Amino acid sequence: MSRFQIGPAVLMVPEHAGTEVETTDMGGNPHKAIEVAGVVAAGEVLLEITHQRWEGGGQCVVTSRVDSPPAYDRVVNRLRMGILAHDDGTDVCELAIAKWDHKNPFGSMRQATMADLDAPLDGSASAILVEAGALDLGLRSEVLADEGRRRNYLCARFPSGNAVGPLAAFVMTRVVPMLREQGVSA
Amino acid sequence: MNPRPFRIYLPATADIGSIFGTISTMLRAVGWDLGYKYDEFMRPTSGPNWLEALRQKRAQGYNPAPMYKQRLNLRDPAFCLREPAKNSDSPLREVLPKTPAFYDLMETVANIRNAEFHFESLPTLDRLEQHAKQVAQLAQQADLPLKHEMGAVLTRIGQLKAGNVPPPAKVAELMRQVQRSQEQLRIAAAQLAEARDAAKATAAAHARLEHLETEFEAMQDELQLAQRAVQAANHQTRETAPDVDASRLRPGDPWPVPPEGRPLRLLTRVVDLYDCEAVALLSDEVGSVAVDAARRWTELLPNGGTVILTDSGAGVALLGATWSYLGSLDSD
Repeated sequence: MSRFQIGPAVLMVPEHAGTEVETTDMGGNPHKAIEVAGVVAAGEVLLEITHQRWEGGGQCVVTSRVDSPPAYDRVVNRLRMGILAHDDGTDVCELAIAKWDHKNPFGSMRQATMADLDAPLDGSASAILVEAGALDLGLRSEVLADEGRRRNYLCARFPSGNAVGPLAAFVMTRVVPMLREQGVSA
Repeated sequence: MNPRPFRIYLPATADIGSIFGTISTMLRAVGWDLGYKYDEFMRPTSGPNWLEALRQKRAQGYNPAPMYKQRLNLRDPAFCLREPAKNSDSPLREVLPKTPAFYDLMETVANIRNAEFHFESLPTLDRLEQHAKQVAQLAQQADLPLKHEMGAVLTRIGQLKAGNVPPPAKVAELMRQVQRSQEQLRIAAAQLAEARDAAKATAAAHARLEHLETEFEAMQDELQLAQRAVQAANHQTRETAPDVDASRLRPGDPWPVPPEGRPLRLLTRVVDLYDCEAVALLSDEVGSVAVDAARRWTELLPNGGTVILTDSGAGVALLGATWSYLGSLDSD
């Protein structure tokens, strides 16, 4: 099993080959995917999260808040993280960070710097991502030679099919900010 | 100082997996210790690129061995053993005993590595003992740090051959070892992340990065070994625990007494059982049997829920209003 301390949360992912499922991508298209699920625990909070990988891409999403407080419904099936299968045989995830305010109670993803990612963790985001298997992280312009409008967004590259790395990135950018917003400390 | 971050795995039982563990770590230790010995000797006289220079020299020679056609790895036992054994002009011979018998011994150990990693035959305790004796001789004569570990390996093999199975290591102590390994891995990851950043800026940091990448991989291997030891110890504990005789019960049958044990939560999507008190998944403690059991028990509890796990590994849950036997953790 893989176990990571990510700020106030503990991410646990059992070691198995995954389960074959049918799922829909963010565009609503059905796909046959391999799903690896894990849990995130922090105090009274327990969330079930999944990594689904289909041909050409994938996604990470919170699928259940189990017995956690109802406020965590705001992350269930929302704020999904897309996974892009890159030409060099690696998986790439964008590292934006979730933010909520009174006008936007369900939250949205905003561009982040490494300092923004480090802040809710009280530690180093890059160290956690390396521990989870990241091959490289930095701006899209550096990692992917992206010249488009999102070139200044951070991203991380993982070996293809590695479920643990994207799940760690997902917890870091969505779940931990939510825990902090709810006042959960380490 | 030799910073080898793993020790030779002492087999806890005579099963093939344990023997594989010992052979694999023993041969890796040979490569690691020899590689460091060579590097300590060569670096001051020939500079940090001595290994690549040596490779190029061999590659340009007559009929070079295939290993010289690609980048050499200083911890590869095949290189560390065959380079000095096969080449009379090898500069590495300077730090080794200069007798033909010793070079023959290096050849023998290299052949052991070859046979084991090409899966020539299934390993047995007798074969492991023969291999360990050769490695012990080599370590003694070359004055490698692993010579201090080989005594314990040979003693353990002797115990297993005589049927004296060593008592299972205390689970708590093994769990502490896993935690220590996890902590070391976390520190190594932080150093690696820093080194990757530095390597982008300067070429000089590349050497340190390579070193840290190798150590990080070795630490991951060590953590896996420690986790397996915990799982094996837990299995032995379950086998000897007194409990209700479940041999006549079938999954779904009523459990005869109010169940006593650890309350766990069956998570059907995660395919595992979660212990909220320990903040851990059961598979962390007992290995893949937890995943297999979760899959089987989901047939009786399709939406998951609370499962009581008894000391002997029986799963008991409320089906309707009746405490019922779900099955054993260890068998289907």
